[in-house]
Amino acid sequence: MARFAAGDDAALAEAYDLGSPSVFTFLLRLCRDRALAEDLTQETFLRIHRARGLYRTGAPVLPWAYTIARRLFLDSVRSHRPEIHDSLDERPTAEELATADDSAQPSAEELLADAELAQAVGDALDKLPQAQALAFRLLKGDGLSVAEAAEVMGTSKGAVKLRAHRAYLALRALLGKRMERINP
Amino acid sequence: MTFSERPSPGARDRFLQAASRQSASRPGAWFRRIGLAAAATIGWLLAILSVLGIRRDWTHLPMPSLMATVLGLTAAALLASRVGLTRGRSMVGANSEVLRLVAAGLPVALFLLVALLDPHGTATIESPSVLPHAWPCGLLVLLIALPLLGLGLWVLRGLVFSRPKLTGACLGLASATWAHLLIRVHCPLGGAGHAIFGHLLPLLPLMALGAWVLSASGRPKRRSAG
Repeated sequence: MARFAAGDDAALAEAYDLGSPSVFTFLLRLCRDRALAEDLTQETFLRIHRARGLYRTGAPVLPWAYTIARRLFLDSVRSHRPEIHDSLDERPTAEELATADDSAQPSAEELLADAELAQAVGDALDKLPQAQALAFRLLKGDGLSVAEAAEVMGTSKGAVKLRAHRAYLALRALLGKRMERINP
Repeated sequence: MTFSERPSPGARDRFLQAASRQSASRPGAWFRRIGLAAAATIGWLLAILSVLGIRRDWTHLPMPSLMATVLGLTAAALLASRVGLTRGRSMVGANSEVLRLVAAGLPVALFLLVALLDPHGTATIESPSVLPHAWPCGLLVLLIALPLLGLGLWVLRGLVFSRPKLTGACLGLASATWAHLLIRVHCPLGGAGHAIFGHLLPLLPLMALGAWVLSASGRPKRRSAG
């Protein structure tokens, strides 16, 4: 990112390759529309590209990108697409994820169990209020700190903790013992 | 436990093509903007002060309340500028607690400062009626502050904020407080009523304007077709 901010054009593609899966997944969870998520991912990285001279060396990129992505999504909901499609048909199934070409990775059984748990958690999160689900995903899924998640969500650290905790309680009620594999 | 997905290879190509057509800000742009804005702010305030002049009763004002007012307004303006013009830890502006504290708390602190410590000397002219004498000062505050608000928004151009409305409100507050300081140094009318209505209250429309502009400016005019 330092090379990218210093004006190295070759670093642009690297920055996109590194960051776009996280941003795309983040947007896909929000809008459930692959085409829209791709458009917004592109716009997110274009904004980062245009603002590269403003980048503060050492600043974490993911919260920055997520904040831009979230704002673009909200603007898109307000102005362009009132209807958000609930069509995640393309989302990989547990079997597809378990048979992904990750050599030298955990066993197929472990992957399958992880994939099934991820699917179950994802389905359960979809039933929660969006703010709770987002807080939980940012903290547990993306590994952001509470402060970073608060910046992405534009709220206080206390509110993020509360939302994530409520999401955890709701997930535990929905999923029971399977949630023991996820730390509170 | 979570699986990330990738955008299609076509999306990557479209992004790289679109990026090649768009100009990016040059390295060091942030510090250049801050430096230019600071220089322009100082130049603008000095130019206005040289035109308006210092209040006629300046030498008769009691030093403690004068110093408290000038230093208090300067500190408030610096604090609001600092909070409004920060990139923040993650490039998304100051955190929401700080923004809320400044946007809500600083106007209250300024109100108390103005109401309790208005500098008043033997040569100070007492404003006989508040509103008729307050509006010209209020208009001056707005006219002085608007270019400063524009400068602040120019510095932040291209950034996306976690709390754009609060950030914009802090910018409006900063510009209004710099203008308030200048008018307080110029205006010889005394009385807390005049100071509140003529010098302080214009911060409200400026905060609202800053919040609206920064909130609206982050929105895309149209979605990129790639």
